[in-house]
Amino acid sequence: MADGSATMRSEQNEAIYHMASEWFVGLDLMIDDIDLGDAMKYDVLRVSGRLLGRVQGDERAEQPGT
Amino acid sequence: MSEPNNQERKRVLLLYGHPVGQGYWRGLSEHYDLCFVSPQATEYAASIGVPCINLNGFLNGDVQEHALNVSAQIASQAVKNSDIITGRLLSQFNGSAPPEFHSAQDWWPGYVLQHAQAIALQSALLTQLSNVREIAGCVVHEDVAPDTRSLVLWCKARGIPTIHVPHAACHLRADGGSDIHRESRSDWILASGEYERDFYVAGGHPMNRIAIVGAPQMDGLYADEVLPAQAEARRVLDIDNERVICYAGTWSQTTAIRGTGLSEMNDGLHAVIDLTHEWQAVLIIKSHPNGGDDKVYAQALRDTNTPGLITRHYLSYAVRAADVLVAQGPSNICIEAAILGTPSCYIQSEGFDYAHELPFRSNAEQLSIVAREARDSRGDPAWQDFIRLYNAAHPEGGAVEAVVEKVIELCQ
Repeated sequence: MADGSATMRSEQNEAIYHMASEWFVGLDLMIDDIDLGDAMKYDVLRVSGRLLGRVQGDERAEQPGT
Repeated sequence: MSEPNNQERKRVLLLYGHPVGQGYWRGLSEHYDLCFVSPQATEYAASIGVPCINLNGFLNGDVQEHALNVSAQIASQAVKNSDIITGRLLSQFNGSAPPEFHSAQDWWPGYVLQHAQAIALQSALLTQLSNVREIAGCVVHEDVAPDTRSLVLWCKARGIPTIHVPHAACHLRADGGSDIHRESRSDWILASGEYERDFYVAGGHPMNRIAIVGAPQMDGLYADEVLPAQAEARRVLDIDNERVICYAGTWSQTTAIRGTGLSEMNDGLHAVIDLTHEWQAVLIIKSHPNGGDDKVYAQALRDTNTPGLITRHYLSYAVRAADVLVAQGPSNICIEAAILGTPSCYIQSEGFDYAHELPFRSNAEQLSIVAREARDSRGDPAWQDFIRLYNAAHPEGGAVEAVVEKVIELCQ
């Protein structure tokens, strides 16, 4: 994996990122000029990553932090 | 803490208040009245004698009512949008979506409400503060998490300068895929060095909105007079052995999935244990401050009859005692170790790498080779180039003063 080839997990990572970037579009969830979708994006990634990891049978769905 | 309605002459500087930034709190407090968004930071700053405004002191019935009404309205919209959200979730994953994604109506409104309540309250408190005090600017250690990003978005909507002083370098390679850590919403980034500047430029941040100041969180590593020499570090840690390896454990990054996760961490740990036996060394496991339970390390040492110790703290002792540092992934501890004079190598993780030829790197299987190369590189001048790429304040330190100076300039 050091050569940059993608694993299934990293491909799903791309899907999660695009989902988290787009899922609030058009829903108009604004709080005092704060776009709630943008503010929640990090947490959406966190929760989605853990859920997808669980589907694959890996309870610790995350990657080592750097 | 001063009282919220106390009229003082200084303008207010908003900070989120993560302890990683505490080095510049005192310097900034000489120019501004600090206001931390994190309640824990408010208490902590007061305990170390840094004066600050208590944001929660602005909580009253009107603020509470406004925040509750706003969040209720948002949750109401979320109920209406549940079916749309379910469709969007399922469409992204081509049949591989987890079960929870099939029924957003069961969790989506509550999930949105939880975030909406926190953000609406934070916004209402900030509005109350801005009604009575002039806000000069905002400094955050990151602007991706909900509380920090919403703080930055609130300020930007009101024309208040926002400054991101990254708490650590992110070592995602350019081909490492999409990642929220490439994003920054702040007007300005105060980068630790050329690497961090280039990282955010590649992520789309304008080059002319990035200033290089050094890494303030590493300033303490330049106080050599109070740091232990190798012999002293080994004496304090009760290590009487010719060879010492320090292994930097990792933490679980919860916003992305790459590589092989847990098996990758286990492979790395066991490669380091094998190396310890090969070198007849003592192993210091320096677990990550944000890591999980250290019992897995203790059990591994017992199961393999490996001499060693485990510590979450005392970084300078753990690193200085070692002949070489081995990190699980391209951890920022490699930069800290290099400043302390200890060479390092790391076990690679998918999508991540240092942008310099150092530190030495390999997969778990090849660790023995790169660990020896790293050990033999002690004193190589190339390590100085490596440090400067990530911390422009090297070799003097002094990034804290540079941050304070730049914040004052940007918040005029």
